[in-house]
Amino acid sequence: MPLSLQGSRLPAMPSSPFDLDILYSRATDWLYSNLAIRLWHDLPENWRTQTRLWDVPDWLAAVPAARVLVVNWVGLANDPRLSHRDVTALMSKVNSAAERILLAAECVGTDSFQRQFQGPEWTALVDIGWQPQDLPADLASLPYRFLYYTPTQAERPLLVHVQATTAEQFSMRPIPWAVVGRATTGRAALVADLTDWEPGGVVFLPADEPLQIRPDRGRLSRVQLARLLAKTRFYVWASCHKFPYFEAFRAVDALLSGACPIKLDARHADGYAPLGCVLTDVAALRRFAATDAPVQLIATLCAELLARPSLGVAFAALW
Amino acid sequence: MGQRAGLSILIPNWNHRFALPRSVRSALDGLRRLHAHGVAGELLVVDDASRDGSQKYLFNLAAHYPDVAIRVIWLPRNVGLGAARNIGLTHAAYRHACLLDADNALEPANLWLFYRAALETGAALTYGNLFVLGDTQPDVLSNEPLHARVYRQNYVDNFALLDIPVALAAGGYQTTRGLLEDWELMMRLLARNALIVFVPAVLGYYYRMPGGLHTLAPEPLIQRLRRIFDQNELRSRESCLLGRMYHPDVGWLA
Repeated sequence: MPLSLQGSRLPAMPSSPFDLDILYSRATDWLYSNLAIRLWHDLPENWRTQTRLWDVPDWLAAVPAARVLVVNWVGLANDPRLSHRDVTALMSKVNSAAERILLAAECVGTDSFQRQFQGPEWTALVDIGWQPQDLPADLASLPYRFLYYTPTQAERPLLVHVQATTAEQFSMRPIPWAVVGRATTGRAALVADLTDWEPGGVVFLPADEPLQIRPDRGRLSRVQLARLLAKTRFYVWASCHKFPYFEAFRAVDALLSGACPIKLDARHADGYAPLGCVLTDVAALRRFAATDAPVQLIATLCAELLARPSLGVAFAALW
Repeated sequence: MGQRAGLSILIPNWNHRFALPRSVRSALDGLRRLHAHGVAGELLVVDDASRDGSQKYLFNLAAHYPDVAIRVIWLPRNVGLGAARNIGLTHAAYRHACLLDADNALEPANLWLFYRAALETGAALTYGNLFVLGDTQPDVLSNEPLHARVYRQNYVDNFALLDIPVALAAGGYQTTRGLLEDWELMMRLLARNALIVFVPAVLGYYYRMPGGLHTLAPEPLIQRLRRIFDQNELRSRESCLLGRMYHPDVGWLA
């Protein structure tokens, strides 16, 4: 973020000329803070000059814009730098904005989704992901906008490069698969199956520490994850819940590093068949991996993402 | 004690005749794979005066597997796990040891990966994921870089690669029975600022069996160990990440 737009350096103003404040927490999971920063950087020029990006403690002392976009409310409310009193003040301040928009990438039906609504009274929800979702009945009246999760303009050349991956280049990657996420019984079973197939995979399943996905807690940063995936053939994951959902962030992370994204979900694989990267189990993955299909899938998914506007442009087009 | 480059797989055994074939097979397979990469190795079993017929099985090992260096140290009386491990460490032919309990099994295909990580990082202790098998839900142990919560409860199993000179310079395993020798050595290595590295791959399989030594440490013992190591100012590191994460094909990851 350019210093001139850093929230804490702006002089106090009686009324803010800015149209939109984007709030995020730098002190909790990097996934959302990274999303907020990339989104802001990728906004069209005329939007970016009217938008401020705030690490949440700085925003508490600022004059708010009329529109506030909160990226992951749960992260903000659990920011360790904020006291209970600060969180109350934050909620009140968000509620004072004319438009209060929540941006989240959570699966409807999960606790993580539900917790996003235990806070300010939102006037709109931006659901960022791969496919739109149906909101539950109690949120049916909330204006809903779906933001297709695509790479930023700056990341697009990477995808173009990955799109041209050959089968030979793909097969040269030394790590057959990687599973990264918090430890659960289901993931342990998944990794056991994967190890039976190819023992040399990467397994990083640390204990659950909510809102602590940061390098200083021994978790992979986005850069470290990208380095790992750049050596990996299949980035494999499984949901910790029973609902149908496709984790767009994992898919894009995989593709930007040239890995093939694979979700294993026996319950819902049929419903996601057109996507090509949701399989029932490790046996299906073994069959899939034995063909040229992974490289073709990577090329297809890259083409699909490149055909869409970049992240910031797509966001601006929502309004 | 050997200082030569290579790996000794050390299996202390006491009355585990029923489980030995599994651990031994996995170790031999791992050593053969290391050998294919030009790494010297041996299987060193320390039999702690077993009374279940383990000796009969162990006597014939070297004859059955002539392609791998196998040695057995026979202890005339039972000395306990910590002391048996120390005897193994002092008699190992090579600089690194893989500590493998008789009831567990290695993932042979990954031993080379862990040995590379130990060499490339110079770690005192190199460990990785262990699958918990047996009459239980699937689980993973030793599954992340070392955090300060290791001062409250040990969550990294002793099934790991040790740099033998560093471990012995730190005093080796505590031989007082019932003092959680794995944890105590880990604390001593930490107090000496030794490098402890987690490799995000599968090192082996951990079998939970009735009577196995895998119960959580009793609270008085935890308090006692904490008091001992608080004197080394370990408490000041309470919120810190203590270990690091490394993968030979990727480099440092934490």
